[in-house]
Amino acid sequence: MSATLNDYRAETPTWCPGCGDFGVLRAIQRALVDLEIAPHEVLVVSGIGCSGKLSSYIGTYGFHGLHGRTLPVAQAAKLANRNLIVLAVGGDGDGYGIGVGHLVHAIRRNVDITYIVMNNDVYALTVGQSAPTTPRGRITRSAPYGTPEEPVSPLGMALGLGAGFVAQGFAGNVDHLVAIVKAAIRHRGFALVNAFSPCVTFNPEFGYDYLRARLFDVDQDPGYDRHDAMAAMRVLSEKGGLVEGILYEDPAAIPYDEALPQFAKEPLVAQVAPLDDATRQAVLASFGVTS
Amino acid sequence: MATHRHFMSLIKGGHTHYQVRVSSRPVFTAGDRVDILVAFDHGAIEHDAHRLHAGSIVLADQAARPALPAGCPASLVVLDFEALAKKAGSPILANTVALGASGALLGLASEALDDQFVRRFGSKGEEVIAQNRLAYRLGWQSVAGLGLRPPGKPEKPPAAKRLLLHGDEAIAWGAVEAGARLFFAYPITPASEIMQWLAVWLPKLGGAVVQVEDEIAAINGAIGASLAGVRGWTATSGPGLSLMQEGIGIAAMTETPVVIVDAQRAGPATGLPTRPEQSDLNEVLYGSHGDQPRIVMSPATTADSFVVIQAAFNAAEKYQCPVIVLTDLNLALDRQTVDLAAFRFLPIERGEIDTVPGNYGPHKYPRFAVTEGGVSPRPIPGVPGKTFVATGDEHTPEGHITEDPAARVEQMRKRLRKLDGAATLGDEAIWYSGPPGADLVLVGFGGTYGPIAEAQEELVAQGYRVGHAHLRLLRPFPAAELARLLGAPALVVEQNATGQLAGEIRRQTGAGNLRSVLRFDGNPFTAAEIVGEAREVLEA
Repeated sequence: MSATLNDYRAETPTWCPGCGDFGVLRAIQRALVDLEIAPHEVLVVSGIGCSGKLSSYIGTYGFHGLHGRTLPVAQAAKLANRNLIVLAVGGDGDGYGIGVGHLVHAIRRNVDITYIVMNNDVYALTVGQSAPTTPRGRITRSAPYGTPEEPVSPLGMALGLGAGFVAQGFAGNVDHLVAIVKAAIRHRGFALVNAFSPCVTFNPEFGYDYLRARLFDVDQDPGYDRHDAMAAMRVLSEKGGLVEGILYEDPAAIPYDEALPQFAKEPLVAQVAPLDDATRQAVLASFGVTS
Repeated sequence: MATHRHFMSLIKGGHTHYQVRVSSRPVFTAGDRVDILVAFDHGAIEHDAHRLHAGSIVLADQAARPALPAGCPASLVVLDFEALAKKAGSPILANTVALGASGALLGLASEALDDQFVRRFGSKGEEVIAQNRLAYRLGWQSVAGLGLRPPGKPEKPPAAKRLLLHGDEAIAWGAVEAGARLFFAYPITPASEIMQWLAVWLPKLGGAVVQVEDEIAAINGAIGASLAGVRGWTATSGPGLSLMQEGIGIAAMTETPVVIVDAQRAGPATGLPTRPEQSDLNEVLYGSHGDQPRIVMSPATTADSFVVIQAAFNAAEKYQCPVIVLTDLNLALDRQTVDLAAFRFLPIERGEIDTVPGNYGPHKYPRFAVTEGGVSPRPIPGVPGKTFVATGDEHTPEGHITEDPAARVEQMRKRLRKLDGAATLGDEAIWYSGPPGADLVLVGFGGTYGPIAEAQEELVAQGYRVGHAHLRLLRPFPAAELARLLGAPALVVEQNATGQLAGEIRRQTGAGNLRSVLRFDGNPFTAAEIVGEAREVLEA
């Protein structure tokens, strides 16, 4: 029996009315239903911040972990049980600030997980400090004279690192985000989805109307080639990062776990056992014991 | 046989040595005195001259222009290692020449290591094997005719199957026997040897070593793997352990099993990165913010490392909390021969793991149900009808985030009572040997087992009534058991500057009659210095 949206509803969200995270949650729920995946087959690993609460609201297995540490947990869980669909979710502070080191290596390692970053350009749960995505000059509670740093360019960084799937969506366009999340889950390997998720309370400037008026949809551009990483770099540069859609996909990417021949057997979760006698004898021989 | 590797945090240069002690009975340290010293440079003689005695023989390379310090009673034999090595085929063979010279002193035959060279250099081809055999013979011949008397020759021990390994290898092997197939780690002395052993063996077992970007990723990876149902673990040393503290806390809060090996070295900061110390004790007992349950085990010997790591995996799953296995550099890296019979295999016990499908709605399953013992059944992601979120926020029995005071208190108490009266180690928390009513008890943990045991033996031989208590479990602390043993004055032997174990014993048992023997100069304890300190107390 296929799962329904109701199976993907758990606790009642505590987000502010109008929060972009509602749209992201809805998009993930619909994507999973569309892909005919049951909630118990999914592990959602979330970080700290408003977006980190998503794992509580979606009804799947979940781990609401440490700030910035979703990716190590998610990658390891996937290696332990390759039958699980593993999603990591968090905010831009979580993924591009405190946890950005893990993002670099998750891209390099290419474990088959999907990482959805709810990007609102601000630290919201701590009530309005600058984020790594906050534009230079913007006044926030931690930068009353204007944010002094340049913002990170997460998608440009991911492309530069050779990520196999790079996309950007928008909480104000859930239908499109559903399609993006489905493609990200289907992609074999690490998939990054940066989802603009407006904070209506602490960063209304970067809101629905602002984004709707500016986002350029590459998926609607018949001339756009999503298998060309340089095209993705170009369009990001031309549009100042305000694009929407699947920017890049490498269908030939081989995930970490598929590249290791020893993982071909059943998932490791089914293999918690001592050494068999032949292997134990080989170990003993390596320590100098002759049988 | 017991060995000790002395090395510095350098790739080339500095003083380095490898010490080997051979005995017809089990020994746990490389010993205090030097019978044969092979010196490739002058510094090697200077470094160890104080350990030479009248029967000692120094085999030294002519190129080092060797000389014994004034008053040194040893015999000096100068050989031209380099010339002999070149004769055998290459200057790089000088160490094999020295090996042959030592072999002749020990009464080994000139072809005694022929098979070993095949084992060691087989992959490098016939020429390399032949060169090494020749180099060994040339060294052997240069000493065999000199009529030197070897300083001592042990009897052949009774026949038994024996392994040659160090604590890191014993831990790695024990972990795979415990079913652990995923290991997450970042290289660090002296824990890297665990990773390197696993990197060879885990791929053959269907598993993998994931060399992660830092120790934060290592602990979180181990937690993620355990959450998903395998036995996730990591190994590190002090600097890495400091980075793991937040992760240790979320494993305790989310009741996710995880095993962390801390092979201690001298701190703080980078400290003496290749030297032994036991100064992480307070950190493993008290690190990470907030009140939380935790188990800390500390193997005493190489074989015990194998046993304790298995017990650690069982305890982590049984009590659903972090287990730290505390070792130290000497235990981790000094190879010893150990009888196979000393390696105990423990059955895999997975505690309340739950793989039975249920009928619960989304997040309705009481994963954190309040139980008498504090442990609740733990479904593995993938089991239908029992979905839950493990959150680092305080939560209800169903894992829903809450700030309700009653729920907070209930969950905190549930977590903390898991270890009340728990037999976490499964066997003795303290190894005690000694007469009833001893006049002095030597107390230690971890890699000081060897020197303390030898000191005790020496003191008993001198007619003193001395006991030795070695703690294998540090959390939960075996306070009552230790208090019973500490009726007598105690000498607490530990490798740190502040007496961390002595402090913990005072805190836990109220024992007042403690005196500390501390060493934190980067070198291991010798039995002789412990004997000296003990006699001061006994004769006071």
